[in-house]
Amino acid sequence: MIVTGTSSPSHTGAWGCLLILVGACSTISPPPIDPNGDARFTFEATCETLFGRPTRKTGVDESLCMPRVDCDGQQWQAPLYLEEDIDALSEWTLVEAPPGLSVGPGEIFTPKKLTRDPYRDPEENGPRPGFCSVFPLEGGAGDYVLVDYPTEQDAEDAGALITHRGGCGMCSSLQNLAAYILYPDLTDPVRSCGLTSFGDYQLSQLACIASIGFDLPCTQIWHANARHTKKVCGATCISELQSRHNEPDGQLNPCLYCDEIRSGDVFKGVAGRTRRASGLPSAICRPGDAVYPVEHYYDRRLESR
Amino acid sequence: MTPPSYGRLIALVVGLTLGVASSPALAHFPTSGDADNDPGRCLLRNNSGRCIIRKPSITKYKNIVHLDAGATLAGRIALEYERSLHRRVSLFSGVYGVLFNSLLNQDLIGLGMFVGARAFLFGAAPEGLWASGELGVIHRRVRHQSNIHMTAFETAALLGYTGVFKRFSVSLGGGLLLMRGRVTVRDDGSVPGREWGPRVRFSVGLAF
Repeated sequence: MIVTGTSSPSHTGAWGCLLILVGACSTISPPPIDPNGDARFTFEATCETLFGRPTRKTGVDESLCMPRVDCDGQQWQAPLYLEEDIDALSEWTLVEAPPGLSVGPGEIFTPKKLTRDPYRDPEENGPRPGFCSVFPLEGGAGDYVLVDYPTEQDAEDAGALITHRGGCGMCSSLQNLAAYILYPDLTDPVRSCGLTSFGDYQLSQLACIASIGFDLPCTQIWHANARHTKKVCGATCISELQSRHNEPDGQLNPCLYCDEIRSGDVFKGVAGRTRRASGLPSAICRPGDAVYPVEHYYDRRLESR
Repeated sequence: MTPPSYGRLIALVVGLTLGVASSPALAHFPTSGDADNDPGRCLLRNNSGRCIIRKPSITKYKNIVHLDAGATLAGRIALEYERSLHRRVSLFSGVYGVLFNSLLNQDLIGLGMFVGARAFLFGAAPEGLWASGELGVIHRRVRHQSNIHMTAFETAALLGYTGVFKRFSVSLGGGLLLMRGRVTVRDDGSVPGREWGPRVRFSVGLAF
């Protein structure tokens, strides 16, 4: 059964994001009360476990974190995508919307190169509500456009396939989805693109991040996010370089927590696609109610109609 | 003893700081007693009139071919030809390749070329303490993904020291590298960008 998230990171700004992050989850072990009033520890738990696919870098095991949402009695198991599923995604091509294309109540979104660092205007680049969807074009084998729909029902009525929760962004294409699936833990690959070294290697870093499989707009927002996190969380993150992603009680390590709070909203707004919003488990365990359960078998979803 | 002039004192401090007086591998100093008898070649004498700090000799070599292994720290290896034009100035040019994963862990390969000049603050070109400036151009691409590539112009400023021992040279230096260029990602187009970072030089070479 599909469970929709009980709260959205997108619309409540940094404070809401803070609550969500905290949020969720853990009836696993009662969260300690932070004597300093850290908001991470003050939210009611609603889910049975954290959502993720633990690795050696995670810091918690599968008894606390699994690729499964189990919130308020509703459950959803994230699929394990195979190589052929990733190949199937590469058969889809994002194209320019043909003139006069009718997409119902949705709004067509076309990813474009960033011309300005979105972290300079955080208020204008926050998360947007809605459901980003793949709108298949008739007659074009695998051609599609991205469309923002206000509700799930609107997307379904228009014949579109939701690909993630929240407004479309630079990483919403299926090419970028394939990279997300291929690398369950993008923290280390992106960080290893020279982002922890002395100096600023923008050109090399962009090339390095693009080589993960992202297209140029998605590469730019990942790079901007990493640079901003280095700027605002650098001291914390350097001391946490060897730390595991989650602390034993399931909380994010201080570096990832800082990244979430200080860089997260702009990333969600501009990139559009995040793992949580795409139902993809990662090596970083997150609250289950932040996850949007969606499966990325677009061919099968089309055939089943 | 005649009190040393300010110039001699400065030379003494610089000489001792660099350790060149006791390091024949770093500078081409005369080893005979020539300087004892030649007042023009001695910077400082002791009470017995023996020269204890000598001026560096004007090297008999005008050319050095350097292999810069220090650049390998940044993932590249450079071959450079340097020619002294004047006692205080040399020009150099060269090529370099980016061949393997660097400390930055970026799997980029590429080729570049550069030209520059060294001003010798102490010693005589091509030996001694120098400051250099250089300009270059580089093209790099991701290994196994030739459709992700970058072209950039670079400029670097370094401070360093070159010594010649017999025919072999050793050159050490450090400074700053600036780059400006564009990165192209598949068919998505290109975006401008810039880089800066430390630049290290540790080269060995042959003088002639």
